[in-house]
Amino acid sequence: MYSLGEVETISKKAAKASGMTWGEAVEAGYAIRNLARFNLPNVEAFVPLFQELASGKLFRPSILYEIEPSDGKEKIGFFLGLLILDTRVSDTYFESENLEVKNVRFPLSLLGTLLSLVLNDVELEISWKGFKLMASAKSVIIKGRNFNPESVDYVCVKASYCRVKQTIEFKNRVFVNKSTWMYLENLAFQTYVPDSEVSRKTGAGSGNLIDD
Amino acid sequence: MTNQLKYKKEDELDPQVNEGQFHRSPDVVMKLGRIGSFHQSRLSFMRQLLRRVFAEKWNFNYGNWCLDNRGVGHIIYSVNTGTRVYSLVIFTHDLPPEERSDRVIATAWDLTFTLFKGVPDSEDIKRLGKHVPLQEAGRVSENELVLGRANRSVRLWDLVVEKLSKGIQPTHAELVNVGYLMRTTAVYGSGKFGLADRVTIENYDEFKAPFQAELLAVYMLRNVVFDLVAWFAKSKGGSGASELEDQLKRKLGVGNSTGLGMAPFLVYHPDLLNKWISARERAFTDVLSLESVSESEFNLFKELLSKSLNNALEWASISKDQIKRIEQLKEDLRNLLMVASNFDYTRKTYPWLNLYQWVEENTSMETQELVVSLLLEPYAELVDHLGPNMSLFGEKEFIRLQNTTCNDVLALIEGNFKWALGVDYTNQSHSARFWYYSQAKLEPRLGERYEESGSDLEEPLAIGRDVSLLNCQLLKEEGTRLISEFLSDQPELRHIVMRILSCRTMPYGEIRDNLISKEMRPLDLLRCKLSFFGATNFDPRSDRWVRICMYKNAPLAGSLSSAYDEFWPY
Repeated sequence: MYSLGEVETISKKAAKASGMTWGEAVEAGYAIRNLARFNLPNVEAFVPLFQELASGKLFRPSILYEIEPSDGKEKIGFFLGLLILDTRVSDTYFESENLEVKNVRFPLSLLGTLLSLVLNDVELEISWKGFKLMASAKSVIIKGRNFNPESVDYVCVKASYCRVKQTIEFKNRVFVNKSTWMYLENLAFQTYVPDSEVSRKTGAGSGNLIDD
Repeated sequence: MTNQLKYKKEDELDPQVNEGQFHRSPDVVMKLGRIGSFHQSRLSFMRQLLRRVFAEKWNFNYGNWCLDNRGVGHIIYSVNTGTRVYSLVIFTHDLPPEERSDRVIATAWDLTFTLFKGVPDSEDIKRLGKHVPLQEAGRVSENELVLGRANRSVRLWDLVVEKLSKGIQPTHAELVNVGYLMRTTAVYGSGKFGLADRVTIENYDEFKAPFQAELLAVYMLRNVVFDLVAWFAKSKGGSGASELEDQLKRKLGVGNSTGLGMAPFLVYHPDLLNKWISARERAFTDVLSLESVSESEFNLFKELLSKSLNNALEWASISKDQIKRIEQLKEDLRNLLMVASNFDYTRKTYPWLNLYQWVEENTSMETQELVVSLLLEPYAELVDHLGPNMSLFGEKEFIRLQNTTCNDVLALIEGNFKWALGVDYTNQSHSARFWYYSQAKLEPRLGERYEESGSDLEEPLAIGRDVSLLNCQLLKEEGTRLISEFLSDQPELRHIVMRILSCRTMPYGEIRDNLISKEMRPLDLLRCKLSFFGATNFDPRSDRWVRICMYKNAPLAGSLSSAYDEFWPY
């Protein structure tokens, strides 16, 4: 079992290595943390996305605002989630939002990205074929077992302002299978810098002193 | 020396700081040179912890002491807070001298430890015995809060064991020259290596202030080290051996070596940095705003000033720069003592403000920041309530972009990040360094951008440069364009836009200096963080790492609460 902090940190680095920008990688790490807290499949929702980004099979959408939720073109759950958060949810005037989006890949990564809403006074309902989640800070209801399909024909998102005291108990330990964790570690490793002659000389360790 | 205080209210400041009459602007406070001169204060996390330990009469006792004749085995040392029990589980090792290293790549230590929730049973001890000695290579569980290790001070340990084994006490001079018998080389918390996440304990009263679990472990370790040294002395000298006398024990703390791995913490956590510095500045502002000062308050200030001079006289360092700073500090403190003895606090309005103006105009930054700490000391009621609010609780602030335009972000840059714009980052000396995560050490490190490879994997810590870059790009845009649209074109700037937006309400969240400059001293970041912990005796070993002492002069665990001296660091 891993701590939430470990999972968020390794996921952020893996996201960066897969080709996301630092800003996006932070959001991906947080989304995975939130999926874990809600006891939903977490890193599993993002690993296929990381794999496709890292292998170049999938190019990150470069002009997000041109992706209209209803245009029928294929959407990538995580980036669609960012688009919704960035353009549909205001800090101050948000009341409610209903969206129906066709042709979504990795829909669980969309859900993970939107879960930050639930932690900030929003009641969220999201559904796709074989799965429905209704969540607020008070309760989470899940119907269906189709948690993590690779793609779905459409996703319905309903979000409305709902200020309630948080009473749900979040999970704080995360099971990640060994091969998935190793995949994340290997990906994250690509963001690390190998030692150079200079770093070996000027590196920062706390010294190997004989005077003390 | 210029008068750096701004003696007026400024509406844009955090309400936490804004309520007082006088405050120091973030442009003055948030400079590397100044935060790198901070000292411990009554808001420091060790001070907050010990106030609680003694006020609530926490009860410390040994649950187990299982060492073989070489001193190898395990020790359980528990504390009952009245509501919960925690146990420091320590594994001692027989470490050959050639393997003793403070570096993060070391794989063996004199002792390793964990702070366990509750009292471990034999199965727990067996499990912990397999993992805790391995440190980073082991796995601990959500029942453990802290993981760490420590090495003996070669200079002092053998000397003290030798003397005590013969029934002789070491001299005061022998002890204070080093200041500790053991030093920690890493103390991990917050979910690392499988430990419990901070979120799982943040609502425990005893851990509401920052880093309380980690500092409790170190405080408990200090007592165990005294008993360990006595055990080794007795093993060597038999019945003729003695224990270290209590007044000598109090002179010793726990040492620590801290390197670059800790340096980026303050940059990664602007929300936390803002909390820490806002609390300190709020307290300072409130003290400066006092219209009168009582005799006992003024006398306490003078007494602690005098003790600070004594501490400065004992402050040893091998760093030429630090030695120079300490010499200046001693001279400044002597002068200030004279000024204070002639200072008529009854005849002046805002007496502390008057005195501090003299300090600001006539002393070094090292002295100024010590005086800031000293001025907080007489005012428990004014200051201490700010302590528990120095942590983050609950969810991250929800930052969204809708309706935010490029002009809005430009205005925020102008208001809070102007310091970042005057630097020419194409000049190699202004962009000489890059922060990266080391493959070999698995820790943050600092590289030379124009001398080594790896800057393509730079961590997003060059805040000033990235703000400047964003500013240039935004100036090319229509001001009314939505920032979400802008980021769709330039997603590589998302991290810096989100940072600027999140810092709207964090005046003290950003270090207002160039963190990739050739002149930047990572040491300043370390000193700032460690001063909030409550560390003393900073002894820089380079511009990248520092030796410190924790709990020097602190009352021993288990001492009578009635004898608790709030001013123990002095």
